[in-house]
Amino acid sequence: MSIPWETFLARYRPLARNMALGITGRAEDAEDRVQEAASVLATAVQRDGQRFESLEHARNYFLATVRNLALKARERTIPMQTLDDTALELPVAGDVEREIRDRQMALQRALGELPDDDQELVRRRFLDHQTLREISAATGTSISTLHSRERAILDRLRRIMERQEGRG
Amino acid sequence: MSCADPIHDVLPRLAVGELDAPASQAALEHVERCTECSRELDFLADLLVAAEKAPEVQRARPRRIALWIAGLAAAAALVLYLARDARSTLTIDRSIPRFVEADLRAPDDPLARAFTQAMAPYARGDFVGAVVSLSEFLKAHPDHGPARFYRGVAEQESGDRASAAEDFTAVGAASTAYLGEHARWRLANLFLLEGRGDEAAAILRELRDARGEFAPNAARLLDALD
Repeated sequence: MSIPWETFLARYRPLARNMALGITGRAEDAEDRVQEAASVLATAVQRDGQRFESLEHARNYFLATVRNLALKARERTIPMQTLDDTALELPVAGDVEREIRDRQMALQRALGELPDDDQELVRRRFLDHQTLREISAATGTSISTLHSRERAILDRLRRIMERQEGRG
Repeated sequence: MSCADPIHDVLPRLAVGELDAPASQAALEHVERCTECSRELDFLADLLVAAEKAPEVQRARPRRIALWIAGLAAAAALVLYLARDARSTLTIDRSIPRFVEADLRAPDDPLARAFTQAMAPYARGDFVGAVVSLSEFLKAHPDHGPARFYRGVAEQESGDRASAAEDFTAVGAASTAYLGEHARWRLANLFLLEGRGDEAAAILRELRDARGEFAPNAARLLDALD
């Protein structure tokens, strides 16, 4: 069993892009670094697909590469991350693609059931990349209240996911 | 039971792009060792994807804000334009790409304003919307290289690689400056993702030999491919 490349990128690209944006401060730089890291990962997979132990290993490799490339881009050295002997492999046990899709669908439904104000907070934080300070200035709500609300929203969504996965 | 390490509480900030490089590294190193935080990171990754797809969250985005942001960017450009030498580089907004900055050097230009508006969906990460808005813009300005380039990026982000390749090819062929280089670099990476290594290598060799801004990237990626 393996996870399709597209599924892997679709899952981790938004997070990787945000992480790179936090380091470079420039949207197009962040996207380029993610693109480069994806190329590095693809090359590593094509070279030796058996060297990664798990999906998490591949994810960690991908995010670390994004982070390193973003840091170098910020320092204006621009180059690609060296590949060395690090590589990945994406064969994983179980129907991971379906599992990821189910998790994302469950989260999507849960987001749809949030109160309007919470949906707006999610939108501002996760889609518009606004800081709590910026949201506070725009809405008049204190930063501490926004922080508490954000934690409560994440807790609620986590609980929904735990029920979905039968943990909890 | 969640991890008691303070890094667990920082992970949402990693996901929304608020951590600098050292903090990101610390978070990623912790995630490698911590099962709970590894699970939390996947939760946040899935949440980002779900938020982009959830219509209720999208609808929570007041349209007036997007227009306000575009107007603010134009106003900021005007202020900076008046304050600086015309040849200086403008810094408008971290979410506005550099080609928009270049165009905003003439902030009273209707074309620059129209381009800024067409780029508004792109700046907020709405790539499907960006394909639509930039396509509309290109109907009126078919030779506008930056618009075609960023439509290519948006098409790729939306999963339409064939259209993205067409746009990158067109921009790469039309411009030998930074914009064209950037388009060829994007095209090479696109080909690599599709397993078209020979075509990617040919483009990378051109970039390397041209000794432009993407030459170091191209050289290293060629080394990796070899």
